[in-house]
Amino acid sequence: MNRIIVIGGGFSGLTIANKLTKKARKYDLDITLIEPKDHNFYEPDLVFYAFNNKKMSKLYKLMHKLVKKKVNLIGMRAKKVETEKKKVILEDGTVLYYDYLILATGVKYIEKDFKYSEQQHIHNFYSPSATEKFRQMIKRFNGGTIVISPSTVPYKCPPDSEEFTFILDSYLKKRKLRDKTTIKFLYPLSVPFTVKEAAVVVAEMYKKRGIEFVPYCNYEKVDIKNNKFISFEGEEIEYDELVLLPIHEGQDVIKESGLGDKEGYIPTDKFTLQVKGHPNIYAIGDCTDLLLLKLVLFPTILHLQS
Amino acid sequence: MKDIKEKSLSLIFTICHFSSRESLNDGCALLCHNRGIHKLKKMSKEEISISIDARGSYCPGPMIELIKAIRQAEVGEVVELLSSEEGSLSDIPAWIEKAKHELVAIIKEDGYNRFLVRKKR
Repeated sequence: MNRIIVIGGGFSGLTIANKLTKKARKYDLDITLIEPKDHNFYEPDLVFYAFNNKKMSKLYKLMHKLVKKKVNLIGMRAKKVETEKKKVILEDGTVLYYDYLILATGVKYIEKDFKYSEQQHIHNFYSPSATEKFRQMIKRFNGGTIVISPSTVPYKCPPDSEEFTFILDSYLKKRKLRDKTTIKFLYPLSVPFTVKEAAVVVAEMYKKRGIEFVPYCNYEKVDIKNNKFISFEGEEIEYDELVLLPIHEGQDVIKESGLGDKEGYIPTDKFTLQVKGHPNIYAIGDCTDLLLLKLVLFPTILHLQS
Repeated sequence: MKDIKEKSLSLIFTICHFSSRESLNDGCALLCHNRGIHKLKKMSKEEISISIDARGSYCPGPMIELIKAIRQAEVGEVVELLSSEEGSLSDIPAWIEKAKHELVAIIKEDGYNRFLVRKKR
């Protein structure tokens, strides 16, 4: 029997675990999926939910309903991988042995200098609670300066900050607040998107809609008292409301197991998804160091990975 | 294509020129011709604190790698970046200018460029 363990039950982990069941009989596979959360959350819709009144409960699906019966679902956190002994240690000390390991651990968000929930004027739309906080703010908003920054690259969904900016522009127009509002879009690169051809179009649309674009603006810190975004390049930009995407990093289990680079991303072969230096380990999704490649080839890379 | 190459060469020459002037001010003479480039190559290898090989990376990969390295470096240290991506020739000098660091040199190698950047603040 070939024991396959998948760590992480996000889209990548779920898809691969379920797809492998089709080959389970032919290759005599025993498939285990490790995911501590009892639900899967459809994060990509949050950018739209920031501007509507729909219930976010619609975005939750229970894990056991999404996972096929042939998959052994384990509702615990993986603490460490010992690659030499081919074992995964869970948070309660349980040890699972594998023949093949698939890492689909995604990324975690770092709240480096402040907690989003404690800051009245700093927002993001990367979690249901943060999105709800933004919703409450934008309903009360009566004009001023809204600054949007993806912090720094790479981040998991390349077009979402541009998408958010366009939706915000339309939303404010509908509420007849656009004339009273300055929208500033800060981006780490010279153009407002990672793919240059698309960036030209985005830049033109920003110009047409009166959205101010500030190039080469990587997040360094926020002067919370004076409502100023301070860039790594030394620029200071004032805001009334700041939409700052959280900085991303690899998960603790990857760092703890010595499988990641400095930021916890897994060095992965871009063609085979094999983890470099580990022939029986594969990585898929945002946990790989291909996140940067995703910025460039998105959405092609996601399609190819699937 | 020819135009891009000419611009690149002109840019490399300009940067070497400025680099030489600044180095002269520091009392370290680097001349901007073949002998100068040779010296620069030799000297810079000893001075480099962080080296990144971003050859084969797509745009904006080299740029992002450079920003990461500059974040890690101490003020005064030199970061070396190898890039085969053509956009780097315009993007990287523009970013360095805005971020107020020093572009020591861009050295043309076989199929790629070596960027030497000193963290200034």
